[in-house]
Amino acid sequence: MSVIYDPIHWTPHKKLYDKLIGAFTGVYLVLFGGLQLALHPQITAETLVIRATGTLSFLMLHIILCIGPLCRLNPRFLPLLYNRRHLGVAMFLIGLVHGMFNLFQFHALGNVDPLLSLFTSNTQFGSFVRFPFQAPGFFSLIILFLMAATSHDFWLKNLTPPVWKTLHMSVYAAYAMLVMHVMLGVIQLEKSPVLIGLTGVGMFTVIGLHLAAAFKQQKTDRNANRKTSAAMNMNTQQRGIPAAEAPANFVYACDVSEIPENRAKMLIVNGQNIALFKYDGKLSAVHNLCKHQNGPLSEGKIIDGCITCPWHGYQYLPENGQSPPPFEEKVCTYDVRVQGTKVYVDPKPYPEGTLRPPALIP
Amino acid sequence: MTPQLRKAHRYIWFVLAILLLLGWVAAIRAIPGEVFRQPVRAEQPAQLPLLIETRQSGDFIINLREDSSRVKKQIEIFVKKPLTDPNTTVTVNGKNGILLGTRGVFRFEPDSVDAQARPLILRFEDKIRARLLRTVIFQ
Repeated sequence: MSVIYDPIHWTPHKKLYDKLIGAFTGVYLVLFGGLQLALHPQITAETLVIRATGTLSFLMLHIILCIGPLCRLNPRFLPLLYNRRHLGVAMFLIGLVHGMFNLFQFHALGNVDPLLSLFTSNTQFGSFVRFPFQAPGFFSLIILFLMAATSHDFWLKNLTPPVWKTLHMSVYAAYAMLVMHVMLGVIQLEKSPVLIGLTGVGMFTVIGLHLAAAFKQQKTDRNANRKTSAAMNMNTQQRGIPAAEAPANFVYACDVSEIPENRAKMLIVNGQNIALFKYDGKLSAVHNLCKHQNGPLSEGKIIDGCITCPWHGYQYLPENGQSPPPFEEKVCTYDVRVQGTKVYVDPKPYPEGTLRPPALIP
Repeated sequence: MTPQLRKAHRYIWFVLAILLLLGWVAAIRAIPGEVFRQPVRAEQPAQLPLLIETRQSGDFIINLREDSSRVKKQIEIFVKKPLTDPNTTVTVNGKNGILLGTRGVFRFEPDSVDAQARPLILRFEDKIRARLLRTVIFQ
């Protein structure tokens, strides 16, 4: 979060992250270049650059795509998520070098426009083994350019999070095209199955992690839905709670002991996605989605008295859902009641930033 | 993420898993037993000593040469820039086609009968696209 406009709001964490990206890039290029020169002493500088940048950007895209599901499977990976966009922009720039060198090397030396040459030098679009594999690479580079160009929070704010998120989900289309770009290129130039095998390892890792994270999240959502539905359908006496104790319009959420200190429990009640936080002997409920990029607030924790989003550290006061001044982000709040050790939530949201007194834990 | 967004992600990755798996299997099956590599430039015949005529056409310099006994003829083509039509072949009076490669010099002997014939008509063609690129005539 930043009060004044900064092209990049540098923090020690971001600086370290970028240094690691730079170090990784440098080490990879040196190792790859050395290996290529050892295996192919006749290789030209242009070909070396094309191969090194192509493989590096493809590897970086795999790492980027693995970060999201890894964080959902294990929160210890969250530090990788905080500055993922820098990794994305670095990956695009390296991919751009790969694309430009290809364009110059193979399409810019004739008297045909290089871009025209890219699409007309091979027109066997109906053949799998002779498919013009550079075309999907070109289109994926266009998508990655749009993503890199709009990666700044300026665009996030102006495009609005839903539009921005939709635009950035096109990375999956770019990934699919890049996988085909690599595989179609390899089968035209190599008879060894090693490169196709390595592509498969990367591809199955990414797909496996995304599906595993999706199944885990689906299970969590179903459990949350089932519990809240059961709680709503069960009458208070069945739960062993005297009817007089059940507040009107409230639904049973959980026992106080189910929420760790300074953490939250995620609820889905009447379509409302709610994060119920326990802190300092109190309970407060806010909408679960961060205003920045719709991050899951319930997976964050209370830091310095504020709910802190696990994705990028956006903060909100638990009592009123407002970011601490001078920030202006706000989320909806909900009423919470505690009776004995049982916690109840009214699923009717208050307007964003409305102060609701926290429920005191007896 | 919202539950809707999570659902969208789930569907996207299901579809990608199926499509990419199919693509990967197809690629595995399509790995060639042998691959065509750009051949190393074939060694060119030695240049015949006598230069009879020379022509310049576009990025090509074309020489007609003879040996000292004036029996053997030789066509010598200098390609000065990378070809814009990589499938350019040259024929002499419709025979003895030669495929030009990258920049450099190419030499070949026309058919012995045609070598004595006049005019010698050199046709630069892209036979794959059925296009006549240029014609050079030695009268």
